[in-house]
Amino acid sequence: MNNKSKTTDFIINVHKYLDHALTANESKDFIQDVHNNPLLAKILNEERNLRITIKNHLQRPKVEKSFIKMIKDSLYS
Amino acid sequence: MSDNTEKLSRKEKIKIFEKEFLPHVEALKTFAFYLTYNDSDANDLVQETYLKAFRFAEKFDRGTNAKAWLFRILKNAYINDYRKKSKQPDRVDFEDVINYHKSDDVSDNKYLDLKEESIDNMMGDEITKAIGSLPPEFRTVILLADIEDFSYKEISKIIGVPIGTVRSRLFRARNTLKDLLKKYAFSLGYKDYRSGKNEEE
Repeated sequence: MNNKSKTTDFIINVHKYLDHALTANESKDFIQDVHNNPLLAKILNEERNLRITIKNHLQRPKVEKSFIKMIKDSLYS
Repeated sequence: MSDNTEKLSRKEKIKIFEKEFLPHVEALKTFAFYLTYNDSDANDLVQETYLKAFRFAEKFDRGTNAKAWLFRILKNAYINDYRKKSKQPDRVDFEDVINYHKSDDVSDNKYLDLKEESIDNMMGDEITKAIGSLPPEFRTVILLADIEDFSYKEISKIIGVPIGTVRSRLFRARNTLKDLLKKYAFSLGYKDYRSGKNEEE
């Protein structure tokens, strides 16, 4: 396998790893690749950090208690 | 959805509703808000979701993932009521990865890190704005995967597309989002170390 194919496979696995879509053995091999190559580790970090940034900064709308009460009233009445 | 559709008493329905459905109201509201970008429409969508969930509570397979079931109801309600005129997105192949991450990029050991503390502090509501600027199909998979932590399989069921399409869409959505956030970081004076120059140059 050439370097480009290896890199492509690695990047696909980065996404699958962070999305918990690799099997236990695949994850083990993946982590081994990361440990063996600092450049690949940087790609993993970049993708991981994107997800952390999204999760930390997304503004979530407030749910008013009155809204929940309205739903319950409409269903239970 | 369960084949076990025995009639539930009203009391049982209310019990399921309170225990299994209602705890997800905040997640549903967030999802609805980022689909509609309107608080009132989001509330209507959540209310409609709960009305349907309550009405069809017999079809919910107890002990399974209520959150995914509710999200599927909400997504369908959104498509039926809010997005009738929207266009389908271009199909994206997961192998687009080849075009985005060229091997020469990988060989460069410097790049912009969104988690870098100074950038992270400045993001503020840029994430919210950036997600809002994504096409609904992209926004949807980002919200389901990165905010709600649904698996590819669960997302596939919620939005009714094959797992491969979920992966492709997620890949494209994240890259689009990343580009938007990097543009914002560059506008604040950060350099694209990966290419060795500022994007605005």
